[in-house]
Amino acid sequence: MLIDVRILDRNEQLDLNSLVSTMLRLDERCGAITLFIGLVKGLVEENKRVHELEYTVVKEAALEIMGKIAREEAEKYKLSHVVIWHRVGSLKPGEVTIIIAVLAENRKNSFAAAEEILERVKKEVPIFKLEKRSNGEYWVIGSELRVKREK
Amino acid sequence: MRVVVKPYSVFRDRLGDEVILEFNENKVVVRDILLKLGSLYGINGIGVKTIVIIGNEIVSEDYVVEGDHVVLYLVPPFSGG
Repeated sequence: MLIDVRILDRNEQLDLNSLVSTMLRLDERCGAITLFIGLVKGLVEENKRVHELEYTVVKEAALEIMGKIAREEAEKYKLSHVVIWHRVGSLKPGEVTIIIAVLAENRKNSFAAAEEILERVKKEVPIFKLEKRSNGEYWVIGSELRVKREK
Repeated sequence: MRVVVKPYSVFRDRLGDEVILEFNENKVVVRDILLKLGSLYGINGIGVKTIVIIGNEIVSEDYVVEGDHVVLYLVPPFSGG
């Protein structure tokens, strides 16, 4: 089982062709790769325009927890390879925020694992968003709450 | 003893990049650290749940902090992805 978790700065390249090519060659018993690519939204909450999304992270804790999630999900869904790459720093609309890729024996496990990993990353990994948008700057708290930044 | 508090997200706006708290005792529970941060910086007034990370783990309010210069990360609910 291969686990690859990373916190990447904005200027680090994401080579998805290389990632998928590598996964294609890893395990003859596997019949499915699911690749999830998260993007910065340009519009949120009743069409408020986002100029930039700034991510911060408690890096060591994040890497440890991402590794734990990857190992647990790999065991649960019998995955041969789990990739979780999360970018941090200032990102623009349309830029990639997160990559999740899994290699599994079959499509059912592959889809389920990728979705579960994403949900767990959002809830369990200490990463935080600041939305810089047309009507001010907002801290994103959890999955729903937004708090306008104090001046 | 001293506890180094590193706030993130909405708490950083209120506390700055780092706060060092001093306690007379050699150990202190997280709950008392949060109470002190509440009285000094009004973090409870922000209306956001506090989460504490020490040594790469999320700890409860009953967790006992021992030793000098332990680093405590004060964070809100996570929003990665």
